[in-house]
Amino acid sequence: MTSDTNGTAQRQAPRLSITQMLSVIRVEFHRARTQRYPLCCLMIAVDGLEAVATRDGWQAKAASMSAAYDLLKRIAREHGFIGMAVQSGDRIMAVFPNTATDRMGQLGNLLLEAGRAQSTTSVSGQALLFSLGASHNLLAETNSSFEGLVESAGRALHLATQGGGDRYVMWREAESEIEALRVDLAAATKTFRAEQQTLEDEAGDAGGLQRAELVDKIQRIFASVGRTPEIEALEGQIIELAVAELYEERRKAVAAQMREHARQVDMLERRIAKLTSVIGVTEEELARVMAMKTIDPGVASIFKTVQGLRGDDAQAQAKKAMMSTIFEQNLAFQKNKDTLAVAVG
Amino acid sequence: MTKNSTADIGETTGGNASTKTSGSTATTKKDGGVLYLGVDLGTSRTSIAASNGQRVTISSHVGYPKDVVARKLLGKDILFGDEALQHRLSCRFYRPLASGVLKATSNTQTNDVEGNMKAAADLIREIIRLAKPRSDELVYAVIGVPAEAAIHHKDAIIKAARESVDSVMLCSEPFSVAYGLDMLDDVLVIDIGAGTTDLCRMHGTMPEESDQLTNTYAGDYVDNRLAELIQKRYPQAQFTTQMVKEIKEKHSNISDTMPAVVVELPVNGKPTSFDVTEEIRTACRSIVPHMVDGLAKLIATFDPEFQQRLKNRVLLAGGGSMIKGLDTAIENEMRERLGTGKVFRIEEPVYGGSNGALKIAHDMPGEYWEKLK
Ligand SMILES: Nc1ncnc2c1ncn2[C@@H]1O[C@H](COP(=O)(O)OP(=O)(O)OP(=O)(O)O)[C@@H](O)[C@H]1O
Ligand SMILES: [Mg+2]
Repeated sequence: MTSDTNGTAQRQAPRLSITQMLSVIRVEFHRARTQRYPLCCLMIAVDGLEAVATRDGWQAKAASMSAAYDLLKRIAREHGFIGMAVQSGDRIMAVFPNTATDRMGQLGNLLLEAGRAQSTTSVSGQALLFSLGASHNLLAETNSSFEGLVESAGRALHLATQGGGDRYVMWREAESEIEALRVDLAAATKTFRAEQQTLEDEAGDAGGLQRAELVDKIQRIFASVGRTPEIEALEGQIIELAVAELYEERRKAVAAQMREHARQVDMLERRIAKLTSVIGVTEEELARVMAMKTIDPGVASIFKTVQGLRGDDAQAQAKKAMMSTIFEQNLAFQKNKDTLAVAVG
Repeated sequence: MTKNSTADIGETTGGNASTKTSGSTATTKKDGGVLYLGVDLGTSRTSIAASNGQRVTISSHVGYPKDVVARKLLGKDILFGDEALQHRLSCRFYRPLASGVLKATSNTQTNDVEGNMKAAADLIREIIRLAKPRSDELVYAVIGVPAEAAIHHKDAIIKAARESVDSVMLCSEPFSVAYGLDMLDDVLVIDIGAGTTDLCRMHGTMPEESDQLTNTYAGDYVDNRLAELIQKRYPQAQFTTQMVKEIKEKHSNISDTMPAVVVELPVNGKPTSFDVTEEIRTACRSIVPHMVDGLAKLIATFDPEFQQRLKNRVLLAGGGSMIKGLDTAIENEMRERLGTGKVFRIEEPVYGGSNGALKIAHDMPGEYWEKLK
């Protein structure tokens, strides 16, 4: 590692500010791009950092981060990885020029092992577990901009964290493609659902117009012949038959269309499943990341119904009047605002 | 094969401040109960107390990472509280409720009004999220705001709150403190915040403008005084306002018998010990006369028959009231200038405002909430 910009006072290496460091990294990124050599970006987070801070105070957080930084520096030096790193907040970002993806994977695993081994070697006796996210500059979105590279490493890091941490994830074509497929699938499902609805509606009245035309035609033919009760009965039967036939035709067409939709969805899903198994995360993990939300159901209120002031409150009268004043003020204000908005908009 | 997809799947670790929309609120069936929220929106600190037992306080800071790289490093789209303060250099940093920003009466600091309003809105959403409301509950909130908050800011506050609650009311901050303590009759509340000290006279009905006074002799003023005094006595010491504030919060005391305070401050980067006992006492004391000025005004204009009673019922609230010996110092000054005085401290200065707002929310009749939906 060439330098750090952590800002902690005790480091003796030549110190650059984060901004300076990032511009050096950017230069490196663009050089790799124009001279076409591989470059990897590694994003590091310490697992359970919040818990550490809660348990041992916020200083412990800073201590863990700088232990992580030192470890990265040591492992990189011992195994001949040359790169640059910055630490800010709860993340460390490192960039390694001239490093291919498999080499990056080696570094990732070395780091994970060294972190786990800290339980026996460090003073604190605590293991340092990492989530590592990496990206390389060979995809369209990671090659065209530095932001894209960092962004992809961030996604990979998120996959690693969401998968339970203590792991390394490289953002490769597979991940990238899965993401694209997911977008396709979501879009396809949406259009199919809408189409299906229209088709079903149409089938429901057997293509309204068509039916009306058919019935019209039959009636016109029968109008030209002499009318007997038998002929009228026959007319009725023919119309009934023709309409039933029309229903059946529509139903078959709709069913065929649905089958085609199902097939396309199925194909997309199967491709996603296959790619997912390639990258070694489970479908659920991936789905969780895609869902983007950590759903917290919340904590229930102790009240099941609206309360209001208790009648036996010692100052009930005065309080009632105050509640009413607060309400009136808010009504005047909030209503007034609404009218204003209407007047302007 | 790969598509330049813009789906932002990496952005997830941050506070999901914008995930709950009013649309989704409206469509959820709310038969799970009624959650009341009391919020105290302060210059330096925002607190919430909720009827599900949650109580949270964060410092009123909001930061937005400056660029994609900073955002990735910080792992979030928005930072709040101390975390925002800590990373303010890599963020667009706001103190959205600081004086001059949300308060109409102070100097118009017009730069980036929009940004401050957005930050205020995000802060409100965050503090409500931290109270962990359930989606199947009706949520009713009372928000205590500085009495002199400008109309368009009140509007921004209401808009932001509405995204996460079903109905919301604003109410003046010192009033909610008094209401929370059931002290509605002949009481003088002094709420010492960071930017302002708010005095409010209670006499059994809703206080009006003439019952309230605001001055800027509050926490920030003490910080500045303390910094000046230390600078004057120890010109070689290097420190920031933030460091001074931390020293104050740890040692604030104005009693004559306060223990000596020795702190470490860097001199040319080397930690050095300094005795700042006298500086702390002087700085903390400097707000006392101004406070008694305000008290005197509110007492003099009160019904003479009840003036005596008022003097004996002064209530200290707000983070600034945590200065040790402040109650006695105010009593002494009152005795000297007004003949008599009795000062009480509230038990929980940090949650005084939000507890009171929660109580108001609870006592508010259901039909009022309905009408403001
Ligand atoms: N132990 C302490 N001793 C003295 N001052 C303290 C102490 N703890 C906090 N403070 C000060 O209290 C102030 C914050 O008080 P509070 O949280 O009530 O303000 P606020 O409500 O955010 O501000 P405002 O009411 O002006 O909008 C800060 O200036 C802080 O330094
Ligand atoms: Mg306050």
